[in-house]
Amino acid sequence: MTVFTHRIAFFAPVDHAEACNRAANAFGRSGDNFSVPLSAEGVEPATHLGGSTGETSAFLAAVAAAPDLPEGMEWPEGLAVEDWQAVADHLVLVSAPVGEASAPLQFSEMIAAHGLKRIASDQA
Amino acid sequence: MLGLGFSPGSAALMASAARLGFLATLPGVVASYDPSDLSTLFQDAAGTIPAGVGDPVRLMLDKSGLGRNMRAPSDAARPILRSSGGLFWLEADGVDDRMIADDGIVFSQTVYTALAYRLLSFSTQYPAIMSHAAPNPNIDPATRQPLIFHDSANPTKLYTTYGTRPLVVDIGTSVVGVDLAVDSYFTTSASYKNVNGITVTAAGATLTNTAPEALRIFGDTKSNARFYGAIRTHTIPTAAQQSQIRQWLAAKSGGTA
Repeated sequence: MTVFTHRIAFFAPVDHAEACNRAANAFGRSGDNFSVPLSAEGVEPATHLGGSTGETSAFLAAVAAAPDLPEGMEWPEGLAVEDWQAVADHLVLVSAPVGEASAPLQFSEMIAAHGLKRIASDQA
Repeated sequence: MLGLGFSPGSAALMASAARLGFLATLPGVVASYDPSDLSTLFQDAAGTIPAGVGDPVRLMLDKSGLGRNMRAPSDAARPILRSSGGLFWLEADGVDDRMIADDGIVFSQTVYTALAYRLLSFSTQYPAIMSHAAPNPNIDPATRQPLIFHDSANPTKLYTTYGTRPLVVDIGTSVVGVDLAVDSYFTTSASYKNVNGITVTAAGATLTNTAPEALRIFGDTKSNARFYGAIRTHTIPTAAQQSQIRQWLAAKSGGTA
């Protein structure tokens, strides 16, 4: 069983979110994990894409080491060097131990600190 | 999408169907979800890794057996299975968590929806709890059957909208943190909603858009909420059956029948 030790919030510029997502999926995640559109005024067009999830200590250690990997960690199959470089250069991520963070508050504080707002969805 | 023939968790689904009790006897069921039945929950989209308490849930099987299984569109969008005091629920983070059914349901002129949930915060202005609506339902309100949501500007009210017909219940206190057991029906001649024993009625209407759409939990507006369970039928249950459903919802949520 995977043990998610941390709650994380993250975002990246639109032009680099796909690369960051590919990198995350090379570590075993799946799907389009950057799904929350963001912009300075909270209106279209989105300039950044973000999300929130639980994560493992090992994943966080890997992200912190990007574009390298922590000592002893094997290079994941399917992880492109340029995608991992995009993580190093463009991913913004905050984390807190599970139970110590309110996910919506963590996310809203993170984006506010970078001058961003959620773009209101017109879908239900 | 699931392939034909074997589907993930099908054996578990058959076993859990036997535990549905009176819900299995309801006529016209088109979808049914119960997070307290752990045999229907999986961490992965393929349905190979069972989910336990504290795990993220990527797939929740439809207990109706009709294949309207709920999936989170990504790993980050997975709600967490939580449990306390004998209750079980999926908890969405209010940022990106949401679940979408595999297959759409054709809009019907006769609809009954029942669910139990708790809104945890107004992380967005209009958190959607459960919806059967086309994309952009605010642009085309005819495509709501129903859209169940709240409004941070009116925090005591619960909105259930069929087409352009709103059913609004004011519980008199903020809905945040309150377990809500909701059942509601809509026909061409009448509409009805019960929230924790508070009822409203209104005239019915004829829906103009009946194209199939997928059910969604937590919505694309990404509500921060608990989901205890839901059932959807296209036959209005009898009054006695509705009472049983409300008791089932109350037992799921610890709320009021």
